[in-house]
Amino acid sequence: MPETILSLQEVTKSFGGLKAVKNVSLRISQGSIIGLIGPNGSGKTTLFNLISGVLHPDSGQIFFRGLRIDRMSPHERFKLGMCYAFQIPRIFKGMTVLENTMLSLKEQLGEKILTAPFRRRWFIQEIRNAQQILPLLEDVQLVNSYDKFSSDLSGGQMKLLQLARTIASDAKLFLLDEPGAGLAPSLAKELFKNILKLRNEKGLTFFIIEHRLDLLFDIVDKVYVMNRGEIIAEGKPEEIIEDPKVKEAYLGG
Amino acid sequence: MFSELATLLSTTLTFFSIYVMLSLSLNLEYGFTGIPNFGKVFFFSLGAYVAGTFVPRIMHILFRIDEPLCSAVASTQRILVGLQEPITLMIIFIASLIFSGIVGAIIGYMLSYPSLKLRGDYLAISLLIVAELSRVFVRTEPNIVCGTDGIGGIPNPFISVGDTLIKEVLYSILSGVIAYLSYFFIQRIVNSPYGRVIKSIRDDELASQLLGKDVKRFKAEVLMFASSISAVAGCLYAFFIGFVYPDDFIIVWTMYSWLMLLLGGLANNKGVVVGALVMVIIDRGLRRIPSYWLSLPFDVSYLRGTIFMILLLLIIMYKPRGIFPEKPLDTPARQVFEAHIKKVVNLKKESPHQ
Ligand SMILES: Nc1ncnc2c1ncn2[C@@H]1O[C@H](COP(=O)(O)OP(=O)(O)O)[C@@H](O)[C@H]1O
Ligand SMILES: [Mg+2]
Repeated sequence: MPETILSLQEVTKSFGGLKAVKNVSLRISQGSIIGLIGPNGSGKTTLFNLISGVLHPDSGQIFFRGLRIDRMSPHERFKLGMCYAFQIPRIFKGMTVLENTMLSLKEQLGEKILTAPFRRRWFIQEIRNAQQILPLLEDVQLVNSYDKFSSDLSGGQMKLLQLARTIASDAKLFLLDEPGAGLAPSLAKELFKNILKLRNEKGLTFFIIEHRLDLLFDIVDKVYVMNRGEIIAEGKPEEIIEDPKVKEAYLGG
Repeated sequence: MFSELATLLSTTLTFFSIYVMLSLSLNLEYGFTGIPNFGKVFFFSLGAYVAGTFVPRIMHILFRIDEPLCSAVASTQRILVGLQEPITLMIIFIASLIFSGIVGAIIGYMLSYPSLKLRGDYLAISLLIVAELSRVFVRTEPNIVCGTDGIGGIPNPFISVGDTLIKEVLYSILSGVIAYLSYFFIQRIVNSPYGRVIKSIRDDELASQLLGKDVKRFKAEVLMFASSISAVAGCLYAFFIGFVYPDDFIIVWTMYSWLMLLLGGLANNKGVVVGALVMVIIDRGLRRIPSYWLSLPFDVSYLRGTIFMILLLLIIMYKPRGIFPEKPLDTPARQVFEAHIKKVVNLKKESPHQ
């Protein structure tokens, strides 16, 4: 049985009187692609916010690579090897495409205030990092725009930039919130193919929220379905489609 | 005539250096990191207070001056001793600069905590209040820099050269060198992976944290470094005018710093230096114009404020990103991409039939 990379035990989060996430428990094994679906407002994004550290749960526990992380800050969780791409892309508008992408590489010597002024100390690493992200920006056709301020990109390009930045992070677990939304159909298809390739070649783990079920079901090993903050079903795509509860809540009868 | 011009130029250079240090450090804080420091004058005054407390006291101990610290006699004696002991004076001066830097860094670090809790306008207003309250406190507390009277007799470190002009020229060059060093290091820090991180904090703090950046650490470091530079500027100012007077440190300094920043361009250090130059020319230049040259319905000293206001309005209306807008950071990563694109273009040229 493959190793567990992420597990949640009875995680709950309320906003005032609204229980956005109710007693959610799940277990994701390393190297799998897991889908998360459910109607709008069912708590999917909130669940990702809890895993990544944007929010802290009211109760319950979250374990990542064997460590309890639910009280850790987002930057510590990133360093342990997870990276989150938001539903609405959060890119750094006053920074160029290149700067946005370079930012997510780990352990940069030039990020220390005492080494930053001395170029020689981080020059080589910087060149290597740039070479490393070049193919990623090629994949999303942003190489020629590397020096553009990202506020000048189109909505779709912002989404792609956020994806490239997320992949560049060298994380083990990727949380992707509706990565296909806002992309042209051919691009979305390409993206899901790339995700599958990354998993197969590098053993990376993906947890993906997506409404485009045709794309999602092609690549996932397992799907969780949420409704009103609860997980109402889990299983292989073909099992999920047949589930009467899922049909009622999400697939529309 | 020559000496008058030289004095004007050296005074201008000294003030230019001080303005550059204030506006560049504010650029680091706000332009790059997004911390709206509306308490600039507070950090500036710290350096002056270090000079005003440390210099007279150490001189009284070293040279056995018995007169009361705040008395006019003591003040004159300090100047006289400074004339006779140039080396000791220089050491005291350098020690004060270092001391100011350290005090600035410590207070900057302490104030980085509220800057994590408070955002935007609230932080700006809080720092504004800190600056004003601290001035009121220092002016009412006689044991810091002699209360409302202030303290004099802080000798210019070059006082023993005798000639006033040479003294001022030397001091302005020294100030210029320190300002240049500040510029150099800020440019270096900013055009690096560090600069990328602080810009990302400015643009979206949460997203930056989700990419592994310890926002708390970066903000603390930025405030430490920037406050340190501001305090050193304050110390230079105190030694230049030879006097520390709490009511000197009013909000105008903060406003000037912001004006230079907005004039030059947020997150553009070269632009900010130009902004400082424009400011210092208007500020110093207009002080030299005798009122009988212009027939104004008001005092000529109000003219500066009027011009600054008009400049600010024009900038906000027509060039909201400053005269020199933000540019991509200059890190080696760009060269990799530049070279790659050139290579691709050349390949296409060589095989046009593909
Ligand atoms: N920060 C917040 N404050 C208050 N309510 C929130 C917050 N975030 C989400 N919610 C509410 O929680 C519920 C779940 O939202 P969300 O997780 O975004 O759903 P989904 O991503 O499945 O569409 C919704 O009713 C939403 O309005
Ligand atoms: Mg959502």
